[in-house]
Amino acid sequence: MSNSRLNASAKNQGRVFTIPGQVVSLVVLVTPLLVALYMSFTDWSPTRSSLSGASFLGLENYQELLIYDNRFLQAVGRTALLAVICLSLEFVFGLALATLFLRTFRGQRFLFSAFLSPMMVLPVVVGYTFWMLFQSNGPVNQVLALIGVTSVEWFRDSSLAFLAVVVTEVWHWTPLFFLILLSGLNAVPENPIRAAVILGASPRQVFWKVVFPALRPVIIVAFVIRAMEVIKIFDEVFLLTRGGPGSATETISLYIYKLAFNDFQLAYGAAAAFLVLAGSLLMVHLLMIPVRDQLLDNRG
Amino acid sequence: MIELIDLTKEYPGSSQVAVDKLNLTIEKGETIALLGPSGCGKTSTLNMIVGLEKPSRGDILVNGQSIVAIPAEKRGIGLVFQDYAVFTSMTVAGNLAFGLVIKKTPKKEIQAVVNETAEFLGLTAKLNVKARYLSGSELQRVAIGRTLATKPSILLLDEPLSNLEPEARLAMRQELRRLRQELGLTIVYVTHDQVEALSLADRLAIMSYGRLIQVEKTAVMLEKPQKIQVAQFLGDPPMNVFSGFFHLEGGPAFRVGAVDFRLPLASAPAGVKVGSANYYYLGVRPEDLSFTTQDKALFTGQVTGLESRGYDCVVNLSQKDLEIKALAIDPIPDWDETAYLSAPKDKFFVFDGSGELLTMGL
Repeated sequence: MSNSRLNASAKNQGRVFTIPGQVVSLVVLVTPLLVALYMSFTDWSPTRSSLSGASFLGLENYQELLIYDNRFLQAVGRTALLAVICLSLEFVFGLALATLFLRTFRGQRFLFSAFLSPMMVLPVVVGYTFWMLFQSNGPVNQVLALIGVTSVEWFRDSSLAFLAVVVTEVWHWTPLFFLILLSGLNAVPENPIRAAVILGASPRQVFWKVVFPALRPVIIVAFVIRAMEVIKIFDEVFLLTRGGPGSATETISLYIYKLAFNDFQLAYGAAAAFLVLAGSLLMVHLLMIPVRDQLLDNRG
Repeated sequence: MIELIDLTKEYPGSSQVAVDKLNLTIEKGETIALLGPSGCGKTSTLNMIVGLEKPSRGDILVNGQSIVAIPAEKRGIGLVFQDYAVFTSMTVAGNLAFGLVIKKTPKKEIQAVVNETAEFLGLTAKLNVKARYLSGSELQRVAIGRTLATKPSILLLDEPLSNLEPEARLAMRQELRRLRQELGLTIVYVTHDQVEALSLADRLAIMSYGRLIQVEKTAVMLEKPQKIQVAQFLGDPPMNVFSGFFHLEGGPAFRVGAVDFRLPLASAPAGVKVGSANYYYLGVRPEDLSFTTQDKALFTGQVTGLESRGYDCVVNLSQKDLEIKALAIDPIPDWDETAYLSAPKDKFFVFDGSGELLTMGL
């Protein structure tokens, strides 16, 4: 048998082995997705009829969401705002920490593990813990009382509740930025930095002109990963504020959850979910454009 | 003019001295190659001259003034890295302009210098190309151009050609020669490749284990290596060297220890001490050895290695522990065949026990 034929048959064999995985993903992933997509074009609610008995509405649900449903649009805007604020803070803190860890110092190993640990805590636990911390007679307020700030009602004021969510989220996920940026910084080749120094660049110029461009793909990947997570944020907000007060901290996931499980508007919720999916796909795609070539460029 | 005075570099935690009391004067407009095996302290020396590393001891003078306390960017010395270290996220123009932008040079002037440099190095067509899409030799030219744009008085090159393919290497060598002629720069460059060093440098400075072994005009260095380390480093393959002693029993001769190798001489060379207590090194270049018949042989051995290089063949001859390399074109001896070698007596080098050249020719 010639080498190429051997390769071809090996390739076919490889494909055969992927069949079980493909079948599983078809059953558990593709099918429900298609059902949900169909559902989003109907007025189905489990309390009224079966899915097959529901009437087909076409794009009505989508129209409603995009044009008339202010609560949905606000949730989208709020989630975007949350993403921008959290990601900016996480990036700044993560980068500062990563830069700090580029030098060796005493206790570095211990602190490294310590700084990474928040990321490993379950979101539910984080939400619950911060809910306790932010109680009106909780530790945060006790500390604030020491500097003369008293009776801060974290969950009764819209802005404060939002701030509490931001603090929780930033605490929880800065380690991810720290980890990704640290590995990115370590991979930046040394000689271009030295070359820039010889040519007279200040440390700031070295960072912005040499290190940052080399780090850009890593930064964008970190942002994409985190942005997708923030869009999906649920546990922490649910445990901290349940979206309140009013709908001041209601994120997209929380709103869709309420649509589906409080109001049993499953079809409408599905449409909202598909809009979010389309939106995040578009966002990821747009974010990746400037660095796609750099990431896919395999030349050593 | 650069003067290195007792330049020493020790790295903490390393028992070996990276650069050991280096003394070297490099004239203005001269091209000098620091040549030596990997880890001999060449790159550390460059880094100290450019200011990336501080010497542990010693001084570096440029035109009579110490530059050790001056930061790298103010020394007016350019360094081109072995891996080019080009800013890959920038265009070629961005790279060439980098040093000038940092120095806040007026835009018009930057533009002029960038164009001039690009033209000089044949990069004009690539000015707007992102550096990451360039080939090795283009990257190399960008790296050189980026340094030249800042108009350094001294250019340091760290293994400038070692990452290039043979063809590009040849072209780059010509480029560097042109650079030197047209710009009159003082160039110090580091290499472990002697062909590179021989083809470019006015003088060679050979280093070994952090020490400077010999500094000499390139042609003289080849002709007359003053130290045995130089003889054993230069040449491809380098000089054959055997240790042995001169004796007079049965006529003057040089004898290599336990091996049956005896080189009859008209007389012992002037200044050598005769007798087995005084060791000397005898050297002969592979290209000076020729295959001959048994009766004319100075050395007899078995062929234990053949390395064809296309145009010739390096033949390894062994006799007990003694090995000697010779070049054969045609005929090429067979493996295990007994072969006989001879060389004109004036092609032999004699080094004393400490490795200093005593005399050429026997």
